[in-house]
Amino acid sequence: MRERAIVFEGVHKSYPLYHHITGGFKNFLFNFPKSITQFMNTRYDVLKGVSFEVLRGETFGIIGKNGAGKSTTLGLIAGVLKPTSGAVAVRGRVSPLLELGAGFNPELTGRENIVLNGVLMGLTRAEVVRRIGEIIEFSELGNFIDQPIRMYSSGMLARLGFSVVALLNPEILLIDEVLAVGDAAFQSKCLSKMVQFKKNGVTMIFVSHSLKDVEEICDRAVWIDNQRIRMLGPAREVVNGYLRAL
Amino acid sequence: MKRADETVTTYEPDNSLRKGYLSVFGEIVTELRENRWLMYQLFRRDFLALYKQSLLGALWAFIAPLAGMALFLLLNRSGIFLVGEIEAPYPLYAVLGLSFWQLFATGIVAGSNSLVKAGSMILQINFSRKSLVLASSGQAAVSFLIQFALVLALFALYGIAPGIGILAVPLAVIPIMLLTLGMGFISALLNALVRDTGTVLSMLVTFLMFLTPVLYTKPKDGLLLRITEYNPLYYLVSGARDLVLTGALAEQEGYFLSALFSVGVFLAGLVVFHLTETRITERI
Repeated sequence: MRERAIVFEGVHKSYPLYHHITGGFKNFLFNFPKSITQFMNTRYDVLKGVSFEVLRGETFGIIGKNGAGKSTTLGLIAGVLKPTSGAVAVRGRVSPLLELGAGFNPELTGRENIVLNGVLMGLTRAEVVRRIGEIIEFSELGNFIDQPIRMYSSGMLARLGFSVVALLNPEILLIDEVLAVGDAAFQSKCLSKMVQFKKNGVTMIFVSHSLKDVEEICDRAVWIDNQRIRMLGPAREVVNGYLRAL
Repeated sequence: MKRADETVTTYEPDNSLRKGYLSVFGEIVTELRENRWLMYQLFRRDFLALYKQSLLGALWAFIAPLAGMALFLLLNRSGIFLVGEIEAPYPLYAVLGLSFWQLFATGIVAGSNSLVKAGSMILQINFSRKSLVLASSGQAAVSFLIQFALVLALFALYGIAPGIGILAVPLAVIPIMLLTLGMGFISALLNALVRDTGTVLSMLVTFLMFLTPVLYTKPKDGLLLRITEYNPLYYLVSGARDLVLTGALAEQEGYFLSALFSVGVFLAGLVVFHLTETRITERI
């Protein structure tokens, strides 16, 4: 039996609600204990009792409406967020395929950003420097690699982001709607890299509104609706179930 | 490459305190050791980005203390503001004091902005957030080194030899850094919760500079004297300055108590930050 890479056990996640001080600051001060309790304790639920497992080497899709809790689920896998109750167990190094610009500094060159991102993902500087040649070659950015990335187009940034993650031996890859950018040639290069990852046993978590991509790329999928799992199973079945409910 | 897949990481609701304070310190030390490269890389990022597209670049580190000193010199000469009796030439006294002061002022402002500035990075990557605060104070340390070069140039200009205490400057800087970092940790958290913190802090730093005898001598009486006597920044800055100018600490008791206070603030800031940093992600 294949090893489990990610286990969600009865995960509940809620966020604090933002308050504006209503009724004036004086009112806030006169009812200070009540105001502060309300300020600290009012929360809204994003996930309620979510349990699922992802096996090693599996490509797993997460679908659902906006605000369903897809990105929160990714945040919990990455360890950026902690569950309010329940537990999330992760076996392996998690590499998030970043949204454009996250972790990048616009004033630094592509090369400097590669090193910074590699180190942010938990590698030593020497490990990143050893692979930097391959990363630059894969990104096909040519001489632009030594230019500040504020000069890059969104497609070029996507190339850089994907190249960094792709060549730093990911074990669990989190992909959040980022493959839509970049030209057709680079997109197909990314897809073939993902097929290679799959062969090498890399676990991939794929969040997308493109149901066609989820159906094609993923083995299994989960549909999150109203903070709970509505359906979990083979990607095709879950996508069909989701489409029927629309 | 290290394979992390043998280990399983379990994320559960925050329970660090239940493990006890000692284990919290153990966790912090391990985290800092494992993230030394990250701190270096973040410092490098800030440093490289700071002077890019800047016409005067590192010269800004000279301009700020020179402008402050020139203003006070002008106020003093015109009799509007009295800086007190100073044995050393005033420009040297002022720039030396300002170099230590700026270490605190630049460091705390950079620290308070470090989490908010990192925004989307914090939301997506699980990395040591403490490294952000610690690396941000690196900028202040570099500015200090540049300003200290200006101090040495002024010594040469006036033909005065600094006291032997100048060799103790690296030690004298430690309590200032600890106080800055401790307050930086807390203000970074507060700034993530309430964005007014950044604005309040910049105002507060300017206010504190006028309240602390950095550009003038310790007042002889009045309310300002009483405030100065309880101001740890006064002891730390003037103590470091005394070491360079005279080679001895004029107010030893106050200095050592302030240094102890800095250690306390640093440890408290570090622990509070450690215990609350994951909750902060929800607020960024």
